[in-house]
Amino acid sequence: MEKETCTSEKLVKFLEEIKNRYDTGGIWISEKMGRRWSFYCGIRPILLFPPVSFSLDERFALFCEKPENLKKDIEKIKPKLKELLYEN
Amino acid sequence: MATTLKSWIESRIKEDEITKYMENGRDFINDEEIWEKIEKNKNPDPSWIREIFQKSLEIETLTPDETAALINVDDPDLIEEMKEVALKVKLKVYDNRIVTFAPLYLGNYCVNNCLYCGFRKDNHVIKRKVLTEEEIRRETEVLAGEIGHKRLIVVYGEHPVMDVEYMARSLEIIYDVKVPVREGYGQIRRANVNAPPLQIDELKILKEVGIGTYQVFQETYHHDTYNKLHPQGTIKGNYQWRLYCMHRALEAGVDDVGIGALFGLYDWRFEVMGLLYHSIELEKKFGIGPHTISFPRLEPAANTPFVQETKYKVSNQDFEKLILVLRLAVPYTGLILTARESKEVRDRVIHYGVTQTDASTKIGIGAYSDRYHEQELERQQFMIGDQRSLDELIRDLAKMGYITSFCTAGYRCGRTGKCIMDLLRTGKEGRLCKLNAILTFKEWLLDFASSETQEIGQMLIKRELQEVKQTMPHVYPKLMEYYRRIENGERDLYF
Repeated sequence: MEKETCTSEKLVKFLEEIKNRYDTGGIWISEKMGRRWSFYCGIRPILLFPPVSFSLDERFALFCEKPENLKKDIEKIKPKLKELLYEN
Repeated sequence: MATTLKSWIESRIKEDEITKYMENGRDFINDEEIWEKIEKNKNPDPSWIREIFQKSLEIETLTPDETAALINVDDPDLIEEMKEVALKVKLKVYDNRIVTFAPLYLGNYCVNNCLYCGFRKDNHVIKRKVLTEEEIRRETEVLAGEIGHKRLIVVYGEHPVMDVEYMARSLEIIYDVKVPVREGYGQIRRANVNAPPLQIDELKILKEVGIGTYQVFQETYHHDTYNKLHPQGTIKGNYQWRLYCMHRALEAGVDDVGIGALFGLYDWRFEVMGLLYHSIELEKKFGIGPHTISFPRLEPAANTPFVQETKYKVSNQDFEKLILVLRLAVPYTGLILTARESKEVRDRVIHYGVTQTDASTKIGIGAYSDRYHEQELERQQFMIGDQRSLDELIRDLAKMGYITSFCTAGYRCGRTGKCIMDLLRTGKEGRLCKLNAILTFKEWLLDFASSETQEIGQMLIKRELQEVKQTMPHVYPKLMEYYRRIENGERDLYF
């Protein structure tokens, strides 16, 4: 029995690739629930820096601890992330 | 209405949402096994007890035998050691912060007839009321705008006037309230819910509106006692419907669940074991244990003689011990100590690993905005023992070296559910707790504190900042940047 959250190995693997390529520290996807966010999947905080978010759509956002390197490529990465999210 | 009420009651329990979780037609509480373990582990060897302490310090859930052994510790010196270990465990997982909240009762209608409860349906001395949308707004404005709470536990009765649509709408109203205060604004950032057991589809609705922790107490885990206290034919008379509500919540995707027992209904030792078995079951099935455990003691209620007659009243000495055992048995979980207890008791047991407590507490329906100060048993479920204001409590905690945290950072970015469980177990959450406690405490001092509390609070913050500088130098510059921004009027900054 699983708690009803993401179980996509492909998505987690892709997040790991992003983490390594852009040195993001912890990187995870959260789902919007009313006014708050709920953990969906990904790599948990490592550095304990304030998380920064990138909106993916009305439902999901990507959070990471070190966004500096990722910022320039985030728009290119979003389509693949969304594809994997909704494949789940 | 009678037919409607009857059909509503009959529609509540979905058998398939119980049986699907059971193994071989049995639930996970085996009364005989629990008593066997308590008996078998009498007079435990002190060296084994110290091994158990080490396991707790490694933030591992204890086994039923280990927990039963702790229950049986009577040596005063060993109990003193337990107190030290309990505090160490708490500091490792949550640092020196205490989270505060307020209960908000939205109504006192109930279809059940529990013998110990002032709100039971046959108790005709109770003045029944359910808050309207405007009244909910007014209560929230006082809580968030005048007292300064950021977290609530919103309490609902089991009755169609407080069905899931009412719950969802009330949570939306609570989250919508935003009140200008001294320098920033007051707002509820996390609304936890204490409600009857719900169906999976209903829990999905609450998840969508942003419920915090979903809290349901089993009251007593002992089957026979449960059946005696909760008349058959009522919804609450179904032990398993209640026992498996956290399974349904987690299956529905609710992030955080809170369990508890009402101490005084049955032997406290059994209830502690029940809470442990419940935690182990959730860990086993979902990989997530309870976000919080509550351990309220039975208190006097209007026209409710059962409370005076029970033979299981928990003494202060046993109450202290049960908190210690819970702290060590489920080391990662939050422990909630409520204002049911007197100031004297709370001041003593806060050091045993408690993580959350309430203040400025009023449990009468509509009592915050009515501004009455006397307790009226006809309006509330039971008597409360500690009526300190939030400002007073925060000041007292600060004097003891505890920083009050209004942190809801997890809900700002999704550090919830399994994610937060892992952070708790590894000690990372404790470090985040410290950073966010400093920031939210500073907000509160600026927006709500009396001058006396500001002075004491500021001294505490100074010490905390120094500690961060030494222990987490890599985040100290960012912390100071956020700290200055809060001083300049920004709010809701977090790590």
